[in-house]
Amino acid sequence: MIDSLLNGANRWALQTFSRDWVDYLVSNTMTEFNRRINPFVWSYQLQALLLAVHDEADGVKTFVLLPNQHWRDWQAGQHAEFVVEINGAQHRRYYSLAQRENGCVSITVKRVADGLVSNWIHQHWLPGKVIRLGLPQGSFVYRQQPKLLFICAGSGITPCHSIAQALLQQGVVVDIAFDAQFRHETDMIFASSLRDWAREEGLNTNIALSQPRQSCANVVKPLDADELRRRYPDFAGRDIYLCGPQGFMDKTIALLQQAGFDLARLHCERFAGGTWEADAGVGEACEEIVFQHLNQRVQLDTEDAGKTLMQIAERHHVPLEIGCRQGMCGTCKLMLRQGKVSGNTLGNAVYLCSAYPASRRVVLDA
Amino acid sequence: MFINVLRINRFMTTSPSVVASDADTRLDLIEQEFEAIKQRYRAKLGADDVAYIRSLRRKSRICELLGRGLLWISPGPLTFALGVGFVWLHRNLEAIEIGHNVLHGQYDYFPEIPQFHSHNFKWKAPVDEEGWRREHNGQHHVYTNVYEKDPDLNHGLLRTNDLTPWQPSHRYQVPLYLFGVYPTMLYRFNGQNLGFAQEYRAQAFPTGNQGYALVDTEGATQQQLQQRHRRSIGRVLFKEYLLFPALAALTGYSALKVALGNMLADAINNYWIAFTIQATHFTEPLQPEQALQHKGRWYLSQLDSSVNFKGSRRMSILWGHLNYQIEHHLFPDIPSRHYPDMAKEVKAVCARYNIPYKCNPGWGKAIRNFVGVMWKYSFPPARSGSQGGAHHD
Repeated sequence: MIDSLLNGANRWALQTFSRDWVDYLVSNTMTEFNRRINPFVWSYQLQALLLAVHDEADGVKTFVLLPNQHWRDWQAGQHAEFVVEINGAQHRRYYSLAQRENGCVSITVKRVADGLVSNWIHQHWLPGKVIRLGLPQGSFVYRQQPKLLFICAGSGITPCHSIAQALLQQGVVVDIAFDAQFRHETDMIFASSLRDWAREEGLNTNIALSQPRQSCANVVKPLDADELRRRYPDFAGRDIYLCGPQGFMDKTIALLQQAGFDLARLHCERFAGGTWEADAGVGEACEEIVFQHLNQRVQLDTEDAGKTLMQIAERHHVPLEIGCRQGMCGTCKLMLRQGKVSGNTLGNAVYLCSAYPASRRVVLDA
Repeated sequence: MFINVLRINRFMTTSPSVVASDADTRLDLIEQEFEAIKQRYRAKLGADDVAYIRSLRRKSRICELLGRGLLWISPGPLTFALGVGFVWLHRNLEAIEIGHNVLHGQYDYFPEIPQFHSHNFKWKAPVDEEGWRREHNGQHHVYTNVYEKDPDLNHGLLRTNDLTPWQPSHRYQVPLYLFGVYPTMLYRFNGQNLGFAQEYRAQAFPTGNQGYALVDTEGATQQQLQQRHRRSIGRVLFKEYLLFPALAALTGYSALKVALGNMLADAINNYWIAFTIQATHFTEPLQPEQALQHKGRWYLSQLDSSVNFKGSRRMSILWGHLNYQIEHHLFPDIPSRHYPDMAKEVKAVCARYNIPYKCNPGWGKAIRNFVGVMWKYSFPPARSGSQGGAHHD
């Protein structure tokens, strides 16, 4: 009763005022009392309220979420990390985001046979639940190209569908073609949406089945060299967005290479059974540093080797707060959230000017 | 003995490299001494510090409750005065012992108190937190007393040394600051931290910002800066002069009395803080920018530009432990409650290396000294060439 009242109030506040204003109000009234009474907005953590659950297909559900004021602007095609706690153990999964109205986002989760997390989500995520997630990330986004071809398989359709949907909704004039592959008839996600686009927007969309159980209308066979030329004769003039299971991706890349496609115009999203690699890779050379409070990611290159976290950040133009650069003033301190660092640290606090990355991925936050 | 080496150094011309290395050895030793103190206290940080900041917040809330309650319903002048006193206590604790120290990151090490992390913390003072952290932690504490690098050396229109070009308006700086700036000091910090003051000086002074340090606002647009300014001031004005007076009025009490009480507490708080921070910095001697190139030299320059004043441990809380300005400048992100103990060790090191440890016998003397400096530099420099030789204690 009280929970649903609070959820209603939070929903009203987040959908009526800008997140920026809610943050101003909330952060300046962050008392122990408020944090206990309404921990959804009076919180330092990004979390989302689950508003609705829709059945998309057999074993596929779409969850509509309203993130709190810590959410940031994002682009269609990006994904977010979701933290699911099952029997005391934390599991991290990454799902592509889709735009919804009124400040909401949605994710579409396919139930994987024997999959611990996806099954748990299907069972336990009910409207009203508060969900922990990370900020949107990923560079699989639209970059103002005039002609696109999406090639995807299985739940790899989610980021592709999200980009196409956003472009159509915003009325961006762009030539879109869409090739989606599924295993069986019952696996199809967003099939009706693709057919609507073909009918109403005149898009060239194709749905292929790799193992059809019965002869079925409106479906085609999986993409091969001949089919590529037949279905998309102008494919060489398009930017291709590719997302799906690893085997499918490898096969498709080989196919495009043979067909003489310019791979500089191929944009891939690695997507293996709904999860990205989440472990930090302790002891390996650092590849990525995330500055969560600035919503900025730095991909390290060879010149970053042996440099301090601050030197790396400065090379990549991250607007840090900087002082003495020698570990004396404490201005540059940030909290370590994931990964490992070496050098000048105290508790969770890292002195960026005198500490070094020590794992493949380092996540820092204010 | 080390000081002797330094003194000889100035007159030696024969083998500078040998002497330079002696001076470097002394700096290395000084660095090791102060680093050792810091490491000892870093190792001590823990549950007690968490408990300390939590209990301060609790006390501040109790003062707020008492103060606002008394002002709200106060039937006479005595209860009114008590109300002002408690509201002032609340605002004082929140502004310096809690706010200033938390924004230095003194409690960043404890994940169990995210509300006291320097990036999460919201001040109950009318100051934009990020602007403050960048200017105060990142510039003032790094380039302390460095000419045209320390924005707190000459701030606003203030002139505190002879290198800074004199303007006719400096003639009035003592009354201007004592009666105009200090009672509203906190409301003016944004002007400096967000770059509005330097824009004003660029237009108002023929020599522009010569003699004043510039702050870097990291590419924030004018619009964003103005918004941050409005929001940080607005939250305080709203609470003190709108919300609580309105609550009183709605319940049949006097809104005017509440607003007036809050205003008095505000003014006392501003004076208190202004005199605490101004009286604990020497404005001379100026420090070289190169001090930063050697940690030992940097520690010396911090010692040279700060001055403590004596006071009890309890009173030190109301000064935000800034009467231990020396320790604060040597170890800005060690929780302030340790400064009185650290002071003993710092003094011992100073005695061993023959470094002056500057301390005023009381707050009054410290204030008189500072006002004397303001008065002295109200006037244009004497023509006789006292420039560069202006020594003051």
